[in-house]
Amino acid sequence: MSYVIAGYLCSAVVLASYAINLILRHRRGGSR
Amino acid sequence: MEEQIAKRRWVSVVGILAAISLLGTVIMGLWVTPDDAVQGAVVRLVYIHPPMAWVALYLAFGLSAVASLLYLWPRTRNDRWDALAASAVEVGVVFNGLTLLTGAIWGRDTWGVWWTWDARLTSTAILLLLFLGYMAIRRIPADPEIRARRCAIMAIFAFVDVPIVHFSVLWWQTLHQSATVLNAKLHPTIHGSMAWTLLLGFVAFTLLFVWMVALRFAIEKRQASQARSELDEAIRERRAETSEQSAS
Repeated sequence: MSYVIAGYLCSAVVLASYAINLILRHRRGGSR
Repeated sequence: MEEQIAKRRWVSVVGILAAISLLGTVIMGLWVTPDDAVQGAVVRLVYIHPPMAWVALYLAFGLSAVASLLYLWPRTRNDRWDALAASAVEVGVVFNGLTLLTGAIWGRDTWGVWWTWDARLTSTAILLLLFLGYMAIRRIPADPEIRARRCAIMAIFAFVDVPIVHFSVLWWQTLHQSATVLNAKLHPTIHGSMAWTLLLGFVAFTLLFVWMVALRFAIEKRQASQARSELDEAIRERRAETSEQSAS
């Protein structure tokens, strides 16, 4: 089960980070 | 203005639906569905790994290839296609990376290794490198039209690897299993709550993809218009300097 948790957790961290990055870039007006 | 608000609302609704369906997939995948008779608990990765591959290969890279073709076709050439292709590639690269990561975790438990030079794994890794190459080409300073053309050609070239990844499990002897849903007979080999959870996973990640591409597309368009206005400003300043010099 630890591999399953690792898979779900890693995916959640990466996707959440990317989603926050997109939201912030969108709010800042598209700057990198 | 009203149109923009309506667009934002549409994107927010998709985002909320994606979050709800993702939460549902996690709950179903971790607590409701049973263990597999052969693989045990690790089979629960099936609810996220194939949907991520679906998003990366078919939705993201497929969309980038179609948008790139539409950009290269003189009748349909429009900067929006270039922006859409770039947005889809960035999102696709994230999902492609996660496909490899979750696959490695699954492989460690079932095969005993994090990585093996299996045809499916290798062709998927090559796909990631090809689209990272697309992103590198996009960052090379160039005239926007030249950059868009270069990127469109690169996206179509890179997409050639997608059918190779898809059919790799049939063309070569691989450790990776053949398709569970999109197999040759189109007869899914998964049933009951496991099948429904897998379907929910596909819906959830598709919605997440739509939301991410919509946001990324808005950013790309804004960056392009900022670059255009900066260029116009620089030209105006240069002209003003030239006219001052000629007057003196």
